[in-house]
Amino acid sequence: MTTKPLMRSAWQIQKSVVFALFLRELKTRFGTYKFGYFWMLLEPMAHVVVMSVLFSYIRGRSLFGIDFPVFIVTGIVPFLLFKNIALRVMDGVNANRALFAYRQIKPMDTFVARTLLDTFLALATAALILLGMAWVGLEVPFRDPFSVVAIMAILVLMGLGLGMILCIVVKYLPEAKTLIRIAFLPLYFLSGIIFPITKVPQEFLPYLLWNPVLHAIELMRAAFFDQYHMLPDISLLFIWMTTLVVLFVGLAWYRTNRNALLAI
Amino acid sequence: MIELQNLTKSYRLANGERRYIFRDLNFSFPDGTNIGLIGRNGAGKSTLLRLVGGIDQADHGRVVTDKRISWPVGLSGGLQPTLTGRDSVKFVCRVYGQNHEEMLETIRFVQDFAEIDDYFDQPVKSYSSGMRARLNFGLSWAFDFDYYLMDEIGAVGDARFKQKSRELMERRISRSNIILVSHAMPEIARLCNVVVLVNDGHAILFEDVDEGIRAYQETAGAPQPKRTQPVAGTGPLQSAGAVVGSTPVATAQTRLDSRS
Repeated sequence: MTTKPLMRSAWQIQKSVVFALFLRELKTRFGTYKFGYFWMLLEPMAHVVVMSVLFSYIRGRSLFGIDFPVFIVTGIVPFLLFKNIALRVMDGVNANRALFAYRQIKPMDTFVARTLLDTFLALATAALILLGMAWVGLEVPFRDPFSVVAIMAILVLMGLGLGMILCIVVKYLPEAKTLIRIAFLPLYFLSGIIFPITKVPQEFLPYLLWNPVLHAIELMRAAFFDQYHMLPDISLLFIWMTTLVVLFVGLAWYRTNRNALLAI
Repeated sequence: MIELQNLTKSYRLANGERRYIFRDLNFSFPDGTNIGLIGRNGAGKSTLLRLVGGIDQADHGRVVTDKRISWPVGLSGGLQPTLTGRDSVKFVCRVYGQNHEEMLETIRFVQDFAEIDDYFDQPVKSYSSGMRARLNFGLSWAFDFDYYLMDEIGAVGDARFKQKSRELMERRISRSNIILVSHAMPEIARLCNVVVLVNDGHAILFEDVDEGIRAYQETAGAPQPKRTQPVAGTGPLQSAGAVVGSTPVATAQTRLDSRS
């Protein structure tokens, strides 16, 4: 038995709660399997490797002098980062509902813990895959690391904001969940993950350019490859703005619905 | 001090109507006493307990306190089926910001109390319901609180284990206090120093436990009145020593309190 100081600051509480949730999520997702932490990285790696082998086979080994598997990875990893965070945050409240009996734990803590965990997983996966590719002799240029980090950060924040919005949507409309999950499939194709978006007929481009994920992916590729032909209308400002708006709406909506989210 | 200030709590019914459990309730729980919360089914005892515990949030108004208040004792919420008992205990320790040594001590305490031996390192899904309950009770009593919230005393296990639980509970009560929701009046009479009768959106304090139980039996026996939206919590039983509608105490600590 120990006596704790009577008051912890809000920041101290939040810190320990997020840390506790982070470890709990990690263990729940992977800790129960044999070699759990190996599967943790294998799952996204398998996705990336299968896709890149498949599409390299279909489309040939290189594209504007870029090794195709590297091209795929630079699209898939950021996309999965964004998608996983959004969907995980969406489910964050339902999956942890019982934990809200501990007064310290609030829905926001589950959002933050899940976002951190998926970011950490995506970074570890990306590092391993790129190193592996360099090791087998593919060319992995890393032209502008600063931009790479900035774009990852944008996608993390956008995923978190979108996830919060979706979490409240499915709170009031649980049947929307399936639809939301399906909607990420067309987004996959519309974001230029497996083919460069310049191959799309010109007349569709004005519509496609409304998709902020496409902008992020294009910028990501430009940050990797010197010779990448980015669409002329791609704008970093646009995705920053979108992210700010999505985050603002997510946070504001969370603020007004935080008690409803806690209700059983 | 645990004080309810203008506390209003309602639930939305399936047909879209709002049902008010409390409306502008002002109430102050007396310090240093074991409190029994009694009242008819659906009167709002458990809701009140959850509001005091910071699990449920009021529509408006607030609970002001400088006490450490537990989660409901024996609550099974923290257990994740695929995690082990040990991991579940560690999780709660981390939430409460314990350092490594404190955590080891808590784990030892829970392990000793629950007596589930090897199962402590097995996934919780393999536990019997009794083992689960023992783990949960051990976990609740392992932490130091000023008030332990109890929604019915769930006695678990065999006679020897029940005896052990009772002894531990009484040891805790000698240092801390409980707020107990129960329909078992003998239990209330045995453990509590005061009772609070929750009825029709009011909370009425009885410093004499027997008197409170009699008042409860009158409300329980009486035909159930149609639930109307209760008016502000000015209890009718001032003569019973009710601390109703006492002056709100402003404190700057509220924001922290609600989560500490």
